Amino acid sequence: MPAKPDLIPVERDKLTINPDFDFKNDIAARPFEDLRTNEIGMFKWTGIYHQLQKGFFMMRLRIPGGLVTADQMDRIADVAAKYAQDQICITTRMTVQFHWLRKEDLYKVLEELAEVGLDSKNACGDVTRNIVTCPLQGVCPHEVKDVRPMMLAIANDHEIRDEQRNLPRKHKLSVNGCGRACGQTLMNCQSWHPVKRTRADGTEEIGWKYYAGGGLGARPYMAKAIFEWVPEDLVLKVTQAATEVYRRTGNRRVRAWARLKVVVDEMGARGFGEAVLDVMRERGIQGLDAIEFATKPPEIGELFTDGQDVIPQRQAGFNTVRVMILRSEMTSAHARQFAAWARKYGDGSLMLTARQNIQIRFVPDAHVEPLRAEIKAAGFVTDGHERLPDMVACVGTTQCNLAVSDTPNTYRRLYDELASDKPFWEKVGQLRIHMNGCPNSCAQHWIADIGLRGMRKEMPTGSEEGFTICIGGGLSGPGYIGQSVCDVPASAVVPTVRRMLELYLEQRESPAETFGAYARRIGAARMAEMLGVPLAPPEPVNERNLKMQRVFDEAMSETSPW
Amino acid sequence: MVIDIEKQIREAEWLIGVSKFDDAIEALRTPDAPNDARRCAMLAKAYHARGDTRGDVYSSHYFALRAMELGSTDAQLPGIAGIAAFKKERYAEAVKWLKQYVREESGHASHHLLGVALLNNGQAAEAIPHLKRAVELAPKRTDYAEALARAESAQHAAPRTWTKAPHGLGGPNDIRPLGVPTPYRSNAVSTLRGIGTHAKDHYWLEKNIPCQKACPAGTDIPGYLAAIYRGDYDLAYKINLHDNVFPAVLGRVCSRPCESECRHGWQGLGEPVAICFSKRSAADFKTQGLVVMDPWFPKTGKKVAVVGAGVAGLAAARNLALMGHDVTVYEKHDKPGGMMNQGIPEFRLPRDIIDREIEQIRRQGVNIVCNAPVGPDLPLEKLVDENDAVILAAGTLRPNLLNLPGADLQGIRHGLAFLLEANELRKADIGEHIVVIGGGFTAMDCARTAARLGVQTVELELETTEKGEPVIMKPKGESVKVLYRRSQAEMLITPGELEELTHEGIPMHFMVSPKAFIGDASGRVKAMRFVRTQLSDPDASGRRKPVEVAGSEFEIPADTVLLATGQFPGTDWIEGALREKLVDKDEWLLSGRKHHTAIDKVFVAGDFATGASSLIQAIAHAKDTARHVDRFLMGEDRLQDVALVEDVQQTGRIREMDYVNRQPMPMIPLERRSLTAEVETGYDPALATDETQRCYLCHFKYEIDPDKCIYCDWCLKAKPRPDCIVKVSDLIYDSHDRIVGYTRAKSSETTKLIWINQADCIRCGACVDACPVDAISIQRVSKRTMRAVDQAMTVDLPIRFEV
Repeated sequence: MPAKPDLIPVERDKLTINPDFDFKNDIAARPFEDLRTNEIGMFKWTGIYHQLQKGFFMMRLRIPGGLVTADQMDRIADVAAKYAQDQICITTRMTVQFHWLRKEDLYKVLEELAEVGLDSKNACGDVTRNIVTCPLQGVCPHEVKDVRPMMLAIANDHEIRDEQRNLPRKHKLSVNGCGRACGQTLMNCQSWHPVKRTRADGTEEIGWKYYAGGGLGARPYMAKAIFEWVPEDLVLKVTQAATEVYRRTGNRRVRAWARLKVVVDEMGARGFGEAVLDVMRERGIQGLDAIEFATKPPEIGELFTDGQDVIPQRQAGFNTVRVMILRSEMTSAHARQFAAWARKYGDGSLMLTARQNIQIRFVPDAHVEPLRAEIKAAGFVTDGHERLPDMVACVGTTQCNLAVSDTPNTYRRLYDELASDKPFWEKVGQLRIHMNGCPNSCAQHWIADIGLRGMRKEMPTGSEEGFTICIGGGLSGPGYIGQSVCDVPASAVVPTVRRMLELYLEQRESPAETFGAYARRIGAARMAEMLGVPLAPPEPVNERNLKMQRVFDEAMSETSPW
Repeated sequence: MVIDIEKQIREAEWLIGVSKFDDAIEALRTPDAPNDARRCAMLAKAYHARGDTRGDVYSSHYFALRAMELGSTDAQLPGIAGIAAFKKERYAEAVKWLKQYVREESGHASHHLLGVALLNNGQAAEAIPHLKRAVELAPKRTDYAEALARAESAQHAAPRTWTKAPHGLGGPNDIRPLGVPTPYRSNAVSTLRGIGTHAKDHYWLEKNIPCQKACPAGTDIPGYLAAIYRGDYDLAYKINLHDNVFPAVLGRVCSRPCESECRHGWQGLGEPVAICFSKRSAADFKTQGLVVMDPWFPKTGKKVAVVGAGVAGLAAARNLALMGHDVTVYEKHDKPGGMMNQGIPEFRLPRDIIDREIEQIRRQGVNIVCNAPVGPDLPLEKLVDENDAVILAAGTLRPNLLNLPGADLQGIRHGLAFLLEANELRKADIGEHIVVIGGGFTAMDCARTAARLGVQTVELELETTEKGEPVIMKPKGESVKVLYRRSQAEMLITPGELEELTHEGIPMHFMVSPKAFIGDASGRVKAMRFVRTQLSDPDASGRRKPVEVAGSEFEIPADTVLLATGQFPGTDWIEGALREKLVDKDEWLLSGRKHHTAIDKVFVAGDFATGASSLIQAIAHAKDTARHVDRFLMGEDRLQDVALVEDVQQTGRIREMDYVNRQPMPMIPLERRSLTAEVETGYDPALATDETQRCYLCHFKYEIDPDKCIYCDWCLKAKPRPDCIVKVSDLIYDSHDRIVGYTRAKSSETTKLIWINQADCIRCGACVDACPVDAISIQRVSKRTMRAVDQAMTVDLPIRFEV
C-alpha cells in the first residue's frame, strides 16, 4: 500500500487519551514511573507540565484577562506555600504558574483553587489558551468600551473552551480595549479591539476590528488585519468560526508549522476571512453582509503605558497602581501582601500583567500616597516601568525542560548591573528587554526592543551558554520582528547591552526617538558592525567550571554539615 | 499521617552517598511536599551532588537558600549556594556565601575557591590572602599557583563575543555558495556545494549509500528509485543505463548484492528495499524506445577490438564507444549476449529484452561481428596489429568436469551446453531422470529448465562446503578459503531462487558429495553414487569441514547427469607468441584478475579475467577495463569519480513511508509455467511506487550547522533512532580528515556539537521539521563520474557536465 499520512504521536494521543484526568484517584495513586510520557504530555490540557526536575510538575492557571480577586490571590499564596515551595511566577499571558508540585498534590491544588473559582483547564495544550487583554481593561481612559464582557464571553464560550480541545496546536487570543499595542494585538492568533465610527446620520456606533495570524514561537509572524468591521453580535461567532477554520486546516503533521499563523499566512488575509465567512454561512449565521473586510495592513498605536507607576483611571477619582515584580517571582508572603493592599486600598482586585507585574485597581486618589509608601517600605520596585528595569524573562534552564539558557540568571545580572544606574536608564527612556531561554518565545523576545534568545555555542571544549541578541521588535505600527545582531556568551550580555544603549544615546536623532525606533532605523547589521571587532575569548565558562569541578568537590568535603 | 522525617533524611543521605540522586530526591518528597528546613537542605545536597544535569545548579541554589530561610544551620549550605552562584558567574553572590562557608581553618580547596570568587568579582587584593593560603596548604597544586599569579597581576578578562564562520553550512532554505570549502573540520563533506574530490567526500559516499557501495558497478540506486517513485521511468532507466549497461536484463536476473546492504534491512528497520524488482519497472514502463546516450567525448580515431560479445565485452565496448573510440566486437556464436543467452533460461529472461539492450549498444556506435571466432581464421595477432587496443572478454566456456569414476559414460553433460541447447532449440535430449550437480546460477537454471522439458525426475545435488552453501568456481590463483567467503557474501544464486525451486517441486539434497557415475552395459550412465557428509568439529582455525559419513553411500538413478560444477576461461584460441605472454600452463591467464596484460595494448574484461562471477560483477570489471584502455589510448585520466553536493529543500519522503512493507514480485501460477513463459511478471506502476517510496534515499545528507545550532535538543527529542543524533564532545578523525567516530558527551557542559550520526540516520527529516532555528540542511551527495576537464567549471550545477 502507498504510504498514507498517519497521525503523528501527539495527534494520536489527543484522540486516544482523555485529557480530563482523575488526578486524585488515578494519577496521585500511581507511581511516577507508571505514568507514560504520552499521558504526562496530555496533562497540559489541565495546565500541567513536567518540569525540568524529575518528579516535579509545573501548573499554569487559566485567568482570563489576568484579573484576580484578593481572595483568589490569598488562595494562590496558600497553595504556593503548601505545595509549591512558596514560589509563584507571573506569566506573559496574564496568569500565574506554580512549580515544584508533586504529582500527589496536583488534585489538592486543583480542588483548593476551584473553591475560589480558579482553574487550570486549557491553560496549556492544543487549545485556546488564556485570553489576554490590555492590562488596564475596564479602567483605561483610552478604552473605546469596556471589553471585559466580550473577553469573558469568548473565554468561557462552550464551543471554544470545551469543544475545541483538539486544535492542531496552541491557539492564543487577545481582546484589547482600543487600537493601541497594550493588548499585544499583533502577536496573537486572533485579536479583537473595538472601533468607533460615525454613521451617516451623525450618531456613533461601535463595532470590532479583527486580526488573525500573529504568533511568535520559533518562527514569528505578525497578525494580518482580516475584518475592518464586525458588528458586536458577530464577534463571538467570528471567533468560533475562525477556530473551526483552524481546526480543519491547520497542519497536523509538522508541529513547527501547525499554528494558525501558518494557515493565515498561506491563505492570505482575504482568503482567511473568506474561509471564516464560509464556516459562518455553513452554520446559518445571518447578517454577514455587515462584516467588512480590512483593506489595509495593521496600523497599531503606541503603548499607552509609558513609565507611570500610577495611572488615573477613566473612573474619575480612581487610580491603578503598578508594581514591578522582579523576574516575575513572588513568594506567598508577597501575594498575601498584594491581596491585603487590594482590599485595603483598592476594590479588592488585582491585575496580573503580560509584563509579569501586578496592578492594584480602583485606588481612590486619597489612598494613592499611603499605598505608594507601603509598597516602597515593603521593598517593591515601582520605578522604571517600560524602562530598562522592567524586563520580561522566562524561567529558562532553572525549571523548564525546553530551555538552553539560564534567563533568570541573566535577568539578575542585567538588573544588578544596569538597573542600579538610574540616570543611565532614565536617559535611555522607553526600553523593553525580553529574554527567553529557548526559541519558543514565551518571554516574547521577538517583539522586544532588545530581545535575548538562549543558545549554546560550540567551544574548544564542549559548549557554553549564551544568547542571540535581537533588536527592534515591537507591536506598534505594522508590527516589527526583532532582528538578530550577534551571539554572545551569557557573560557578555551586560556589556553588549550597555554598549548598544550607549551607541543609541550617542546616535539618536532626538530623545523622542526611542531605542526601538533607532534600532529599526539603523538595522541589526549596522549595530553589529558598530559593536566592533569581537575580542578573542578567554577561557569559556563551561571549561572553567569543568576544571574547577575538582575544587568544588574538595571544598565541599572540607566542611562537615555540623 | 505522621511523617518520619528522620527516616527520610537518613534514607536520602545514604542514597546520595551511593550516587542515587533521583532516588534521594524521590525519598525526600515522599509522602508530602518537603516544606521543612532539613529536607530542603537535603534536596540542595542531592541536586548539588548530581550537579551536571540542567537545572541542578539552580535547584541546589534554590533549596540551599530556602533551607537557610527555613532555619537550617547546616554548615554546607552556604558552600552549595556559593558554588552555584560561582558556576553561574554571579561572583558577588558567590563571595557572600563563600565568606560564610570558608573559615580560617578550612582546607585548601575552600580557600582557593573563595579566592577565585573574589578575584573574579574584581577583589584581587582580598583574594590574595585566600589564594596564598591555598598554595601554602597544597604547594603541589599548579592551578592554585596559577590563580595566585593571576590575582597578583590582577588582569581582568574582557567580555567576549563570538564570530561566525565566513560561510556557514546554513539551513534547509539556504543556497550555499558554489565551490566554497566547508568551514569546519566537523563538516561531513569538503565542499559547501558543488564537486567534492576530497578523501572525506568519497568516504561519505561509501559509508552513507550502502547499496551503491555494494553494487559492483556503483549504480546510483537512490537516484533511480526516487525517479521511479516520481513516475519518471525514463530518467530512472537512464540513470541505470549510465552505470549498468543492461538495466532491463539486470532488473530480472541481478544477484542483488545491493539489497543485503540496504539500510532498510538493518536490525529493527524491516526488510531491504526490493531494488532489483523496482529497477525492472523502470525498464518496463519507460516511454522511450531504444535509449542512446550522448557521447562523453568526441571521436578519437582510435580503434579497439573486443573479443567476445558477452556482458563484459559489450559493456566495455559501449563505454569505449561513449569515450569516442571505434569499437568492433568479435563474437564466435551466431548472436551476441554470451551468458545472458546461453546460460539464462528464457523463463527468467525473455530474449527480446536482451536483444533490445544489445541493439542500444549497437546504436551507441559499437560494431558487433558474429560468427567470427578468433582463432586460425582470425588470429589474435591480427587484431592486435590492426587495432590500437584489444580487449579479451571471452567469458568462461571451458567446463569444469568432475574427475570421478565413470566420467566418460554417455549421458553426462555439462550444464551450460544443455542450457544452450534448450534455450536455442527449446528442447533437449536428456532422458527421463536427471541429476544436476552443482550450486549456483547454472545448477538452478538446469534444474528448472529440465523440469520444464517434461522429464520425470530432477534431482539437484548441491555440493556443499562446511556451512552448506553451494560450492562455486575457483578462479585462478585463489585459495578455496577465499572463494568460499566470496560465495557467501555474494550468493551466486539469485535471492529467492532456492525458494522458487522448492515451489516448482524440485528436490534438493544438501550435504552430499558425488562419488561415482554408475553405467549400464551399453556405456550409458544409469545412476549416480553419493556419500553423505557432515560437518566436522571445528579445527584449529575454527572452521568445520564436511567429512564423509562412513557407510552412507547411496545411489540415485539417472539417465542424464548435468554437471553445473562451474566453468573456466577457455584460452585455447590464443595461439602463437601471444599465448606465451598471456596464458599460463593451467590455461588461466597470467594476468589473473587484472585489467591489463603483459602486452601493453591487450586488456581483459569480465569473467575471462575473474573466473565465473555474476553479470553485474562482469559489467563492473569491464567498465574499469574500458577506463584502463582509455587511459592507455589517450595518455591521461579523462574521467574522474567525484561527489556532487547539491542543495535541496526537501526530500519528498514522509515518515510513514518507512512502515510500508516490501512488495512481493508477482509471478505466474505453476500451471502456466513453461520454457518460455516469464515466471516473474514484474511490478505494475502502483506496486513500483509502493516499493520505491520505501527507499530511505541515503544520498541525502542531513547536517547541523554548528554556528546556527543553539543546542535546544528539539531534534534529539524528535529523532527516530537512538543514535541518529548524538551529543558529542569530540569527533574522531583519521589521517585523511575523515570522520571515523565520535565521543559521546557526558554533560551539557562538555557537549561540543549536536551531531547527526549519518551512519544511523534514516533520512526521515524529523529533525529538520523540529529545528526551531533552521540549522539543519539537507543536501544530496551523489557519486558521479565526470570529465576531468569539466571540474574547473563551477558556474552552474550540475548534470550538464556529468558523463
